[in-house]
Amino acid sequence: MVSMGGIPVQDRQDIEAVKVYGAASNPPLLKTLSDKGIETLHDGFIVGPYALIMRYCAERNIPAIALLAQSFYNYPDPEAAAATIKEFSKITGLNIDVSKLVEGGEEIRLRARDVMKRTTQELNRMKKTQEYDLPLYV
Amino acid sequence: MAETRRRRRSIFDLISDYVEELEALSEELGEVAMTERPSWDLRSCCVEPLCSVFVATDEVVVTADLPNTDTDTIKVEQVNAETLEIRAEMKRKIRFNELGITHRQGEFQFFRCQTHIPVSVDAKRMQTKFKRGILEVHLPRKKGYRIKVE
Repeated sequence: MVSMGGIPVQDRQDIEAVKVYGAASNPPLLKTLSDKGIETLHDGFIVGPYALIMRYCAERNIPAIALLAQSFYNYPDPEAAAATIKEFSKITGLNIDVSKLVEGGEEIRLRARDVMKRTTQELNRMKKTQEYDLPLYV
Repeated sequence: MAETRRRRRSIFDLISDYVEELEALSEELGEVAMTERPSWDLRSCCVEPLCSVFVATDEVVVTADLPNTDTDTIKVEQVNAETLEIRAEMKRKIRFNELGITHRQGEFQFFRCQTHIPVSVDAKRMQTKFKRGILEVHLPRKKGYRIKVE
């Protein structure tokens, strides 16, 4: 099971090359991600549908990974979406063309405006900002 | 005993509290009604951009997503002490049918939104940045008075 999403970063505007992080439901999968050159998450919180998918997959021993690109918190980010798909291509060996996603980015942002507005309301409801919290393990 | 007994309030105080509560509730409902509207207006050819306000300790940062826009058409204006208006012109007109909508007719060429600034700011020292189609407006917060810590 592969989920794709974003990790909101404050200085997204200034990031030229978006970084993609990986999370996995078990240690061997985490190693696979590292072997493919994807930086993995070690500590912290992830919130949203992919977090739930990972949790349920881990409970049922279903291999699951999440690819999370640095992104805007409340604005559509086609460039970040393209970066996650590129990493997905790297893992699977499938060659997926993301040029339309990048070139048509401005139009996609315009189209996604209303959906994003409602998504932001849901993100606030599901306390997405918890991803900014510092983890504490003793 | 008499000192600890709760002071009885007059009927006028109670009515006044009740009216205040009703006013607050109606204001809240009004806000919901104001936000629940189409994000576009055909008469003015405007669409409302996505916009957000972040209140930091020393400044307020307002951002707006303005795709398909040239920097020199962006106008930022403080309408009053609590409201900031952002306007911009798109590089080209966008028709409904280009967005896959065939049951509506019309086109848009402008972005326009007004956003509420929840704290006092010094708009004269406002700084703006436009990058990756995102406008960022930095408004320094007005300083209060310093309290001496002993």
